[in-house]
Amino acid sequence: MSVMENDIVVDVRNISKKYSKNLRKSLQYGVTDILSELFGSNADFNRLRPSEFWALKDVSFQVRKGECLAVAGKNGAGKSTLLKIICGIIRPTSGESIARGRIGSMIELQAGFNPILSGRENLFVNGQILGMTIPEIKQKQDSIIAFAELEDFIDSPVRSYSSGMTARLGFSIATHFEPELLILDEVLAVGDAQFRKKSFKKIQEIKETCAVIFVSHIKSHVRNIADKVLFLEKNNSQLFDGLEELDLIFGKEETLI
Amino acid sequence: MGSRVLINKRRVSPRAHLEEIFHNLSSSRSLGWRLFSKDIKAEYRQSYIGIFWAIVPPIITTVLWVFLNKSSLVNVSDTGVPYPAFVLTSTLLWTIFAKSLNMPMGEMRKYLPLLSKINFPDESIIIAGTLKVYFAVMIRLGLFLLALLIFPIELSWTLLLVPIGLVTLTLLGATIGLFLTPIGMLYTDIGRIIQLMIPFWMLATPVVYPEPKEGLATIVNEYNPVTPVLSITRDLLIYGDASRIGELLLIFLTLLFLFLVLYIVLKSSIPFLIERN
Repeated sequence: MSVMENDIVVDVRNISKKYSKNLRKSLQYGVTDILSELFGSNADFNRLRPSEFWALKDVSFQVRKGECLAVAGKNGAGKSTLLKIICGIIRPTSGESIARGRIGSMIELQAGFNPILSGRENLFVNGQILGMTIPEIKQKQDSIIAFAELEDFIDSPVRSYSSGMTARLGFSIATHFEPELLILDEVLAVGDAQFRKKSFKKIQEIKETCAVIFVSHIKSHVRNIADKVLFLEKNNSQLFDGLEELDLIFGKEETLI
Repeated sequence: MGSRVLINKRRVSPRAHLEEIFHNLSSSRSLGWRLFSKDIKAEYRQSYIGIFWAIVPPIITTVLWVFLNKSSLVNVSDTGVPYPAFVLTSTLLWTIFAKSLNMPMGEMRKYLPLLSKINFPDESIIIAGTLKVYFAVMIRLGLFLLALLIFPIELSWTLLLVPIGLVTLTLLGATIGLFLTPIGMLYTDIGRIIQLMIPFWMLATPVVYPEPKEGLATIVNEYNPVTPVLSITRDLLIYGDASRIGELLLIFLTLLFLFLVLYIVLKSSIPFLIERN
């Protein structure tokens, strides 16, 4: 294996994913899908059943250590679906995704936070859910709290936090986890400008040792940290190996909605 | 680079799930404990008299049945030990079963939103749920020990075998609960049916009366899986009778196998449940 191949952290090969628009049908398909998962079946999964549509169609890309891929697209283009497949949370309908190493994922900032417990208690719970060990969390907690700028409030219940404070704590935990793959879903859109700047700097810093995939529909965010862009559209995806064609994706607009 | 490689494709074989369960068991213990303590802290921090709510229900049930029995509204045949002690013991055992039955679906419902955002070992959820069942039972166990001081019950060495009975009761509830979880997560009807059935199921189980020897109740009890486990455990606990311990061990091993099979089914279902969450 060459050095370059060794550096591949995420390898997504021809991923497709279908969903059902109709709830009742979706539940019925849920039962048949679970049964076919258990017993294995030769059903043609590439065929759409009534009320189904492709949320992702034939998406392929690789991300290496030290690289940052931005996933851009309008609402409903399948961005979050793609991230969930990479994290192993949901299954692709066809294709394969391979991720090597520890994954620090932030699909939602408050995920796992209990509003009644203090910031410190949540830090331990969240850290362990992400996969950190207790000694690791103990060793890093001061630096997590300092980065989140929450020294004075860390022992207050999280429900007294502003959305920006919660976002800071969530971001700080995920980035201190020393992941080999960092996945961020629109999380940089919240928080104040100053913390956003600090976050971009942090991502640049940890990018040296890991691969980053982040979802954004804001042009300036993509320009700030991405090396390449995956543009998702209905039934279609395009991979741009640089940022030269950013204007082609976003047009004159600053955001994609 | 880290040794962990996550390959996600359309189908994961049951065998791969089994390997994952054993792999996750070690890492899930500490996380399971963390989730358990988090949920308990969050539950009691918002209550002023906290633990009081765990003590009152079993006392009320006991008082109710003692009243029904004393006033001859319900006629219970001789239990061989003071009736309050009998009811307290039996409802303790029934509670372990009922709580374990509700545990898999309840915990999965609670944690599915989190599982849909972060990939973490789902084994920790079941571990935390089991710890919560025992936490609720510990308080009732304290009441039981108190009852021993008030009512003269002769204790025997068979008390040492009681943990086997308690674990088997938990496993029985959790196995039935696990069986219903995948379909129950898709259709809420299942959860409603369980809640509707539990009171009838309790009456169809020799909880507030001894195991019947004749009549319709014997037929019902023959098909009721809770009856043998509950009766044998009660025999060990208050009657000093260990003659059916072999049967209990056989039930335990069968349940252990079934639990593992059903857990693989649940693991296979989780991605599909998340999609529909």
